[in-house]
Amino acid sequence: MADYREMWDGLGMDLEKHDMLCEALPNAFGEVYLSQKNRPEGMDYFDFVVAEIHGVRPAELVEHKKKGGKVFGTFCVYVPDEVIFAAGAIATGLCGGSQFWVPGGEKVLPANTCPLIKASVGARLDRTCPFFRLADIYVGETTCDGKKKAWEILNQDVPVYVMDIPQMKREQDIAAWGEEIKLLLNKVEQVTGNKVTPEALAENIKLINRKREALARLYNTRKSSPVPISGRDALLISQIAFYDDPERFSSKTNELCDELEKRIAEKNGVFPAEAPRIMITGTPMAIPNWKLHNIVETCGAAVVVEETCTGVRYFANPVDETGTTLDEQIQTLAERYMKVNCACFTPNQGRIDDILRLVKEYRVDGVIDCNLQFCGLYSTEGYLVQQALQKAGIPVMHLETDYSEQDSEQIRTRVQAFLEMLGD
Amino acid sequence: MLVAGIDIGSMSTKAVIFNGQRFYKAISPTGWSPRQAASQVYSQVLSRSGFNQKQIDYAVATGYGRVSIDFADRVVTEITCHARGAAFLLPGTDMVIDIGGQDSKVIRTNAQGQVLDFAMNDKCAAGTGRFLQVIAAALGVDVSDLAALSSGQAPITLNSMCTVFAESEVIGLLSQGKEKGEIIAGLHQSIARRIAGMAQRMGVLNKVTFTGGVARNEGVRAGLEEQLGVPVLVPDDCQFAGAIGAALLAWDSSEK
Amino acid sequence: MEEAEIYDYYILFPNHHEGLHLHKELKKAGVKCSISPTPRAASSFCGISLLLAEEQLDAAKKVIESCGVKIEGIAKIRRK
Ligand code: SF4
Ligand code: SF4
Repeated sequence: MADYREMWDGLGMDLEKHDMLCEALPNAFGEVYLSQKNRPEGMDYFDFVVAEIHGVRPAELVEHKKKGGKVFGTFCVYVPDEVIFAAGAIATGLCGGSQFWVPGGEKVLPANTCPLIKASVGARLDRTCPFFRLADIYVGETTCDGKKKAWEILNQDVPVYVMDIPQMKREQDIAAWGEEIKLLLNKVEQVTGNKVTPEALAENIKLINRKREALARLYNTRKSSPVPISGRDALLISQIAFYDDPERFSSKTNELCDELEKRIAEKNGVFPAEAPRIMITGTPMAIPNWKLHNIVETCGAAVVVEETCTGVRYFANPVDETGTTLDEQIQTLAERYMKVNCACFTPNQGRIDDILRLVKEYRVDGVIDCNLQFCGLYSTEGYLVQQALQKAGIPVMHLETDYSEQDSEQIRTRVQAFLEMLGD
Repeated sequence: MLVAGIDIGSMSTKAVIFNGQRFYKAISPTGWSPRQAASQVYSQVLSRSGFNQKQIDYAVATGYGRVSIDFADRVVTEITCHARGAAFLLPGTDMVIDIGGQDSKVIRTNAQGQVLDFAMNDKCAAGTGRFLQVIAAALGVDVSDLAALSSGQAPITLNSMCTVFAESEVIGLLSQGKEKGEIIAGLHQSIARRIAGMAQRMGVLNKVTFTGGVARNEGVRAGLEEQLGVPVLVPDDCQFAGAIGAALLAWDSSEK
Repeated sequence: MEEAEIYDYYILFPNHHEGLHLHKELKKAGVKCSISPTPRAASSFCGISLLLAEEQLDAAKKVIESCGVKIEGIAKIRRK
C-alpha cells in the first residue's frame, strides 16, 4: 500500500474523486476474481498488476518521461504499437471500461453515445486515471462516428493525432493504411525527436509479435476440455496486455502457459468438462469491464474464447518479420493490421468466417453476441453474425448492455435461459 | 406424485400444485417482498389443494424472484417455464409471446415446449405491463379497463415508445382534446408493433400463444394478431403459464 | 436465517516490494493467499495487500516473524 499520492498529484489528478474510484476496485475485483476456485498460480502476477493498477506501471511511465521519453495513448487495435516503440516511446491502451467515468463523459457527449467513448472521455476530463494524464499525445482513429467527434472534444484538452482508417479492404485500402502508418511514423519521430530506423522497427515488430505469440499460446490452452483457466482470467490478461510492459507481459504470460499446459496434461480444469463452452463476440471489453464474463461464469458456463478486440482480434496474425527496409516493414504492418475484422469495415465477411472457425477450434456450444449500448456498427452487424450462426446450427443470443449494474439481473436471466436452452 | 411450480413475477406471484391430473392454483400481488409473497401463495395453494408441504416431491421456482425463496428444489428461468407451460396449455404452439410486468419476451418453441430461440426487450419498460400501467395512470383509468375503453376506436399513432416520453405525449394528446379511447387504441397498437418486430426478427410461425398479465388485454392481443398475420391465442390460464411450466418441469425432474 | 460472519484478513505493506517478498515466502511455506488491491476499510492507501482466510492466519504470522518482511499490520474485515 505504497503512497502514490505525490505522483498522482504531480500528474494533475483529482485526488478526491480518484479516491472514490480506488474504493470501488477492491470489492469488485475480490468478488469477480479472488473468489474463484482453483485459480492458476500464474494469475498472481496479473492480480498484482491490477492491485497496483495506478501505481507500479504509471510509476514506470513517469520514470520513462523523466528520462525524456514520450508516452502515446491509443484506443484501437489498429494503431501499430511497433512504430511507437521503435522511436523509443511507449504505447499504452487507454480505453475506459468503468461506469465510474461515464458521467464525466456525459457532461460533453450525447447520452446515446457508447459507454466506451463516454468513459474514455470522462477519464480524461475528470482527471481520475494516471494513464490518461501520462500520455503526451493520444492517437485516435476514424473507426466510428462517436469516436471521430470525441477526438475533437478531447483535442481541446490534450493533443490528439488521428489516423484515417479505411472503410473497405481492397488493395488500395491496404496501400492507404500503409500511407497512414508512414504518417504516424513521421509524427512519432517528430514528437520524440528520434529517428525510426529499420533495425529498431524490426526489433519492435519482434517484440510485439512475442506478445501476440504469448496470447495465442494462452488462448490455445482454452481449446482444451476441461478448460484450465477461466474466461474471466483470460479476459483480464488480454486487458492488461494493452498497458503492461510488452516484454514482461510476454514472459509472465508464458510462465502461466507452462502451468496451464501442465494442467491440461493432468486434466485439471476450472470448470467440469461437461460445462457449456461459450464464445463471446462483439465490442471490446476494456478494463475493468468484467460484467458479462462474470455473469456467464457464475451461471456455470465457461467462456472459452472472445472474438473481440480484447480477445483474438488483438493477437491473431503476426507481422511478417522478414522486412529489412522501412518501406517493406510498413507494407507488412499494413497487411497485418488490415486483417483485423472490425465492424467499421464493409463488407466484413472475414469476421463471420472467423467466428465460424473459432466455434470449431474452441469446441463452442453457444455464442453470445454482445455489443455495448449505442454501438450502431456492432449491433447492426449482429444481424448477419446471428444469421450465419443460425444457418450453421450454432445457438446464438444477442445482448446489448453498458457498464452499469442496473441490468445485471436481466442479463443473468437471459444467460441462464440460454444455458437452459443449450442443456435441453 | 405431487409437484409444485412457483412463479414469482415482478407484479404477481403464482403457485400451482400438480398431481398428474389437475392443477391447483393461487395468485397474489408480489408487493415488496418476493420471499413473503411466495410463501404466502404457496401456503394458499397448499390449503386449497388439501395437501401439505411435506407431501410435495419436487418444487421448481421461476420468475424474477426465483432465487429469493428457499423451498424450491430447482430454479429455472421464466423463459424455459413459459415455453413449457404454453406448449402444454395450447398444443401446437410454436411461438410464445409473454408480456409481463417488467419485461416482454418472444420464445420460439417445439412441440415438447423446449426453447429453440428467444428474445427479450432491452433494459426499458416500453412494451411491458409497467408501460401500460404508467399510461393508464396518466389517463386516470384502471389498467383492467383499457381494453374495453379502446374497443372499436380508431387508434391515434403514438410516436414515443419510451415510457417517460409516451407519458408526456399522452398528456399532450389529452390536452388537445383527443378521446381517451383513441389514445388507448394507439397505445395498444404501439406495443403490438414493438413486440411484433421482435417476433418477426425471429421468423413468425403458425400459432402464437400469448401469456402474461398483459395477455388479458384484448386490444394488445388483437393488435398482435393483425401485425403478425397468424392466430394469437390466449389460454384461459394465461397468467399461470410460467407456474404451470415450472410444475411440469418439476414433474419431469421428479420422474428421473 | 442469519448468515455466519466470515472474516478476511489483509496483510498490509509499506510498499509492493515487501508485499511480493512475503507472497513468495508464504507460497514456499505452503500458506494460501492472494494478491489483492487494498480495501479502503483496511487502509486509505492504494496498492497491494495479501488476502488470507482465517485458517491461514497463524501460519502466516509465523512466516512473517521468521522471514523479517516489513508489514504495516493485518486488517480484519468482515466479508459481505
Ligand atoms: S472494435 Fe474496431 S474500433 Fe474498436 S478497437 Fe476494435 S478495431 Fe478498433
Ligand atoms: S463499441 Fe462501437 S460505438 Fe463504441 S467505440 Fe467501439 S465501434 Fe465505436
